[in-house]
Amino acid sequence: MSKKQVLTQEEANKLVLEHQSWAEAIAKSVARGWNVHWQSEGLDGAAMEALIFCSRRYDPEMGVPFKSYARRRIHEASTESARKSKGWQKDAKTSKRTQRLARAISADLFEMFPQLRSGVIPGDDDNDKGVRVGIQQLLISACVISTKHGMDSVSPDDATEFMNLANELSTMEPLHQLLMWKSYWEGYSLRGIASEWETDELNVIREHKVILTYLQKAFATGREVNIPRVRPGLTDANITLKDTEQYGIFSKKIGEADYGKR
Amino acid sequence: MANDNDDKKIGKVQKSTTLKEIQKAQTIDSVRKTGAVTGVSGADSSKRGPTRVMSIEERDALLNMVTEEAEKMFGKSKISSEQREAIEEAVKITIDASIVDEEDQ
Repeated sequence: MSKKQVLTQEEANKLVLEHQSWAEAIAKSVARGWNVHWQSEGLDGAAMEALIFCSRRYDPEMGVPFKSYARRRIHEASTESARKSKGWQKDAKTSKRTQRLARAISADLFEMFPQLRSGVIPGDDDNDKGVRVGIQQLLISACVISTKHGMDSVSPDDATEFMNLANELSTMEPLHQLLMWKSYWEGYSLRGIASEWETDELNVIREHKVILTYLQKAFATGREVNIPRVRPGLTDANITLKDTEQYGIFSKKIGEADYGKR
Repeated sequence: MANDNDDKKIGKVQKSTTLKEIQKAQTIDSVRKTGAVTGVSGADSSKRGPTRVMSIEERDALLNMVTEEAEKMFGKSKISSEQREAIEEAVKITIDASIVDEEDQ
């Protein structure tokens, strides 16, 4: 059932007119970042459609400013349009491997960190230190995503260069390995994982952050770092997993890869 | 794996002491008047929020931070230069695609 329109047609149209150039600016920023043309590739149209959609559903009584309400959806429409564009498809065949990989990773980063669509970098604080922590999270998350894409797209011999992080992941608790596998390889949202594990969403979000911090330390120091323990809020899911699986998913994958080489 | 909730034995349970008296709440003598609001300062423009618009200068500073943090993080790691280049580029284009230029609006 579609949601009832809250504003009058005239009020909604006024919102569209007032925010048209802003929606175009969002489409332009996506085009600039991903190197596609914002008009000829249809990002402008996608952004406008999303703006109109939001204007028809916006309820000022919610107390949320229109820009905050609409930005994520307009950004999402622009990125979807860019990924379907001819420029994207063509570049997927012709551009340098690192550029193709970078764009594929970027698209996945928006799924992992949806707040980026609102122009917000992950991290707890707004100061310089907080921004740097957010960038570190993005880098390590991109590293995990690159491992997935690298392992999927290259020959088994070349895949070894992407195995360093997989090796690091295989040392973690099986539950942590499963969390990373489901979110990065199988495309589950952290909320979806929480629902499957019958736990609060915050437990999974915080655990994901702890894992990223661990991986970041392991990479930055190049030394062995203590693996994180499973937080009490995920104990039930951990017990259930250990009842059925002796090894973590990455431990098994690496074991299989090593066996295949022999 | 170690258990977070190590068992701790309870040796003895002590009797709870009886509450003898509940003191009366003291009377509030007076309530001071609130002072008049003289003015509201503008929002701090250095704070980022969901609708925060970043300028070209800020964007460049952020992208430079990505290069610095990537060097710190992957300088000692065993990942290949190609993978590192892709990771760094991915984070940069993601940030670039997230922020809206002031002049575009």
